[in-house]
Amino acid sequence: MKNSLENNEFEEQWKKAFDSKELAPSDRVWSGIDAHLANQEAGGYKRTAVFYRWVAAASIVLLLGWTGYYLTNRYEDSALTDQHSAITQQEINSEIIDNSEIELANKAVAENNGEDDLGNERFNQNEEILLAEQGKTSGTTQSEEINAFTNTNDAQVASIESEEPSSFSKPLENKENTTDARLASIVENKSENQGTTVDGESLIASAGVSSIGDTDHGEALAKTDPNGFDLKLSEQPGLEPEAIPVWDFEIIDKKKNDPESLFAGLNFSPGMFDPNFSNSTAAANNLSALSFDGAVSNSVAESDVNQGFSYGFGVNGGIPVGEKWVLQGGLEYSVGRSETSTSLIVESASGDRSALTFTNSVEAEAMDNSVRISSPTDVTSSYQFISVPIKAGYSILNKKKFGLMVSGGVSSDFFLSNTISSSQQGIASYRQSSGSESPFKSVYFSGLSSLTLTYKVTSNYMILLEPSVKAALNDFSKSSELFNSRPNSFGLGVGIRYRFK
Amino acid sequence: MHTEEELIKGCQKGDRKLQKELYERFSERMFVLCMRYAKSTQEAEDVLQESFIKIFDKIKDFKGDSTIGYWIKRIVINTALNSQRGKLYLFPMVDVNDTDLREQEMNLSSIHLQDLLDLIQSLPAGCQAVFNLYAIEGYKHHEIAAMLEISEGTSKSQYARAKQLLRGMLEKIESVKHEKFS
Repeated sequence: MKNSLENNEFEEQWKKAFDSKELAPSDRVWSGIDAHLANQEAGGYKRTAVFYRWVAAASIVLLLGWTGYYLTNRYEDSALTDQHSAITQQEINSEIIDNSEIELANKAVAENNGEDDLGNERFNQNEEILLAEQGKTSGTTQSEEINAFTNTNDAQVASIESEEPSSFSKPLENKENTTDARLASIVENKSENQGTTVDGESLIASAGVSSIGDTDHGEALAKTDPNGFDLKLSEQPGLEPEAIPVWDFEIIDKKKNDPESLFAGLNFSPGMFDPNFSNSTAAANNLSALSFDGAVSNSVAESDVNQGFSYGFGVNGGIPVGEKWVLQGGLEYSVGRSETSTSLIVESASGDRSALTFTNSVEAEAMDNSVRISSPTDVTSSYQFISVPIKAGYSILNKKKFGLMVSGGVSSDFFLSNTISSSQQGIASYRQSSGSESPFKSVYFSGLSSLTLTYKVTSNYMILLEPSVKAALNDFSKSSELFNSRPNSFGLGVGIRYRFK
Repeated sequence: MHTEEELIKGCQKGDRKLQKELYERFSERMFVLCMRYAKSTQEAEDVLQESFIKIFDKIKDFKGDSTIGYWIKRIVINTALNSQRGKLYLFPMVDVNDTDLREQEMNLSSIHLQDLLDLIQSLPAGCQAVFNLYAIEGYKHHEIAAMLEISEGTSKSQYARAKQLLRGMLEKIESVKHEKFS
């Protein structure tokens, strides 16, 4: 019992010895925690930025798609109107000729047989029918009037022996004038029957004849040959003019997409580049430790690297592998920038000074340069690449003027060099070339996707707008490095293409 | 100076100032704890850093079922044990008999904190962990056995061994003191 009590006393004494005791850890502990929290925060911003970038890309795609669709439809509507006008005019001319022939035949019959009165009677018969029909209520359809008129003419034609007309001018004028008056009366009569004051313009416009929609009543009637109008109506038995829907006039089949063809082009693509470093904190800490034997806080070497502006230009070409599929390839030179800051300046034996970051620490060490601390300075890294992209594109739209294609593929990115430059005076640019001493691989691979909106300027030349995203599939940094890099970029390219047809 | 509730809410929102304030409020106490489980100051600092990174990562899940101090202490102990897990060679100490030990008067309050920490750090890793958990944290042997995935008997024998070693070291300190004064 005593032993047990003594044992408890032993533990109590130890417990008491450490009770509420405090000991201050070094600043290094909080620096590490702070760096981790900063990285997490930056990661959060990065994720948010990536999210908004995708939203922006999707918005561009939707906007471009909608614009393409709208413009294509507008073009088709315009073509439809033009074609319809042409067809109507053709029908009008045809009908004028037919009716003129009838009149000439009537005239000829009357003259030959000395039966002028009979000829006049036959001609007036048409007018009588029409005048009688003017008094009809809405229960009588216009097509009936027209059919009656047409049938009468047919009867006249049937009764006429084969005799060639000698002149078209006079009977044509008479017929036109007569029919104008008739059509005007039909229009007015119809308006009255409906109890509205619909004029010729709106009535015709409602029938979808947009080509005369902007003229006044008289002009509309004068421009729209009533014979042509009659002919259209006679082809739609039982339909009243205002009941004819617009789509009844869509006699043009929607054009099918043009097949894709072989092309070659030039492109320029500005955008944003992110080297997307990870484990850079460890690399920065290591750099500080290496440079100062761990005696200086790691805050002198920044681990945060921000994305920067990028641009690229090159040549490309495509070959169709089906009606809608195109295999594309090219060669592109690009420069991607990133921003960071450092307080470490490396000074060579010859006195040249350049900024030291975690990406060039190994080379600086190898050169046995001395490292100094300066005030924090902004550092820009410019990565230069030659890329060979290969993409498969699917044509969503390929109309006469506009085209829309979505593409995906891979790109081999050959690293040329990285130039580390500082805004601070007296600090020279430091150039890291590809090779065994470089922390970066000579080549890495990226996945890429793009949306291409094309506009055909001529049958052979087209201009294009191409938003694209690209993300590394493997590490750009060498496995021996403490940090990792998987660059990604976003670009909004413009270009020109020549189509071989 | 914020209340604990304000600190927790601020940290849950990721407020960097309040995160630092929470760290400053608890880091010194937790550093002593880390020192008891570690073998060196550097190691203790690493454990403390890792613990607070975990604390800030997980504080969103803190529901207030216990005090924030107790919750933080649990995380630090677990982190410390995990950091030592690979180094713990825990096996039953068959040559140790706790009942044979002669109890003698001890006065730990006269010993400096750093010296006490040195004593604990000089224990074998297994003994050190069991001693901390049993004598200072107040866990039972069956709880320690579960935590360290050892048998209860091993926990007891490791503790007895730790006690034996500490007593031996304390006796030496006492004798040195005695020699100085005499």
